[in-house]
Amino acid sequence: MIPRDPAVEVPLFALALGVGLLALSVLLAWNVRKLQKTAADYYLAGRGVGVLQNASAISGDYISAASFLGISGLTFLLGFDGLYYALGFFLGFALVLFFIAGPLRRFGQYTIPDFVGGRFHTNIGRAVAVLCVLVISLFYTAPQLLGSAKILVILTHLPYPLAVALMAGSITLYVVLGGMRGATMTQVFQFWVLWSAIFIVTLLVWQGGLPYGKVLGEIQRLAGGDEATVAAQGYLGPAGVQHLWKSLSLLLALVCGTAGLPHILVRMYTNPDRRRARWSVMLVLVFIGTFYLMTPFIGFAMHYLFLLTEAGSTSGVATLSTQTMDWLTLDGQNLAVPAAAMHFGGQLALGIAVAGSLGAVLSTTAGLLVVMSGALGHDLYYNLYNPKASQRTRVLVARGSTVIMGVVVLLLGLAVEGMQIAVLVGLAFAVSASTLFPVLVTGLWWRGMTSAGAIAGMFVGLGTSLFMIFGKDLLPLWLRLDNPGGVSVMASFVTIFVVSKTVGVAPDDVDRFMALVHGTSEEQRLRSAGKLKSRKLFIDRPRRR
Amino acid sequence: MSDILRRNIPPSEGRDKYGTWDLSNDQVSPDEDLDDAYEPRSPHDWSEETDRSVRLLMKRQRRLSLTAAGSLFGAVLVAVVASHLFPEIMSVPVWRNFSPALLTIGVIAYPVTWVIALVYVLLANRMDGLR
Repeated sequence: MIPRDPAVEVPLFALALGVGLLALSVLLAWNVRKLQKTAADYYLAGRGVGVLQNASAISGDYISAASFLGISGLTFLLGFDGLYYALGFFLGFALVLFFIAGPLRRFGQYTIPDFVGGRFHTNIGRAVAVLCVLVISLFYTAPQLLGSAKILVILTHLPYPLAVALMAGSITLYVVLGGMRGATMTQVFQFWVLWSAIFIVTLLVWQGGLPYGKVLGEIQRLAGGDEATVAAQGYLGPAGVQHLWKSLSLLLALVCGTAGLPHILVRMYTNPDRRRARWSVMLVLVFIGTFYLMTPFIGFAMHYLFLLTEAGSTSGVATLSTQTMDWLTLDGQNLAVPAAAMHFGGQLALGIAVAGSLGAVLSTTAGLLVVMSGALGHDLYYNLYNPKASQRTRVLVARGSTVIMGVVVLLLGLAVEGMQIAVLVGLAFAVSASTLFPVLVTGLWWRGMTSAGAIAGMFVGLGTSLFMIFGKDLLPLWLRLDNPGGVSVMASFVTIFVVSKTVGVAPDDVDRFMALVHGTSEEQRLRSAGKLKSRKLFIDRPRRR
Repeated sequence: MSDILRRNIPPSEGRDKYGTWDLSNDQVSPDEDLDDAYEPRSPHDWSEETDRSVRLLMKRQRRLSLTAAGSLFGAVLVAVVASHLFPEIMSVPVWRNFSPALLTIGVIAYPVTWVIALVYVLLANRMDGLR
């Protein structure tokens, strides 16, 4: 993050925007505090979130500090390989749209462990799913809190522990007050703040005389002009075949990991119906797609300016200041966006970039807090301990769970001060890709899946991904991957298939379940009455000879 | 009644303690879209015709999802593999200093995904009988 330097003036505009963003979030949640009358109100905003609102909230939920600061940073450092991160984060939503969004909405419960418990009628499966949700959410929350506290340290020069406490306290407060409804409203607002921030920075860079094509051409020129040299360096072009396996594993982990993130999946329940759930994800693809098109460009542009400044060029393009060069040298992986904002727009643009990154962190952390409180209050308390609890008790327990998880998150935030944001986020993606995603996809589409298969799949996915991350040194070289998704996702799918085929039988109501998640009332009624033969779709039409 | 239908009995009492997908305790607003509010709750709601139509619908949905996912991820896979197998060719600038690798993975993949996703949503909703 930005190194603290007493000589650097505190950007007052950034401070005002940051504090304003936080205050507005609490205010929005305060406004809806009395609407939390049922568990569905608290966890799912009453299942009444519209398409545009949900799409903005999902995008805000999803775009975290890792995306806002990390993608530009990775492109700045790695060049072409950074594009894989952007593409992987983006394509995960296509998988959600094609296989999960519609059926999961029709299943229509509260949490992802509900799916495991309801589909396979197993409390053990529900408990394992709760464990997976908590592991994923905690791995994902820690770096968000780390990022937001560091931003606060820069803006206010507060000590890190106090900054963590302030951030965790504020986010917990507005989630306790507003539940999912409050979180949704703030996420919508925060998403548009962060999207606008990236758009403004991109515009500033472009208008500053550095359109995309020129940046790429100049990087090639500075590298010697020899295209083969650039390709060999692997900055603007892909590395050789030896890196193919690593790239594919990374892409698989990011794509499947996105499709298994509990705070994203739970938002499918908040739409009123399946049609709106699908349109919401479609819009998310547009919103985050435009975001991921812009962020790598900023990274490439900053790389060009960095090379230019190092070379002491006099080409007419303004070189970077000493302060900006220091930021990029010390922590280019996280600071390409703030450095670009500072270079092209001064303190004002830096303030906008800081507000954007704060928005990214706040919205993601709030979503994760709702999911964790659901795992605790809905899955553990209501489903496993007291199924007869009244709606009022459930809302009280939900709020209590949020406070408990807020304290856990606070302690975690204090513990991870020295860790890298990207590493922690990578862990979350690897675990979600290997646990919840395989169970959801197979559970929604394969009748033959058994509860033993689901439980074994989650355990193997969780164990494999954690071992391949923490026990990396014990593995042969070809298995030491930056992200073990390529192996652990496959291991989970294979386990689900093999165990389901050999242990237990599918639940006896599996056909009713499939009718619930895939059938349509009107179509079923018409078909039953013999009034509907078939719908003419391209996949039904006979092939032309 | 076939074996398949015989299995479609209402959930037994014991199932309640493990969790069900009965939403009766959920408050549904009166103006909620009824498209997704149907669930066969008793053997009377379930006929061989219903079973066949649900299976057919599911099969068609699966085909649509696999077609959409196959087209998109197949194209991305080809771009990634080609970029690694032929780095010299894929790194040569072809348009405004963009190489084929940069153009496909950094730019074109996005609008292509939007188009496939849009077609998917329209067809999937139409297939489900939703507006």
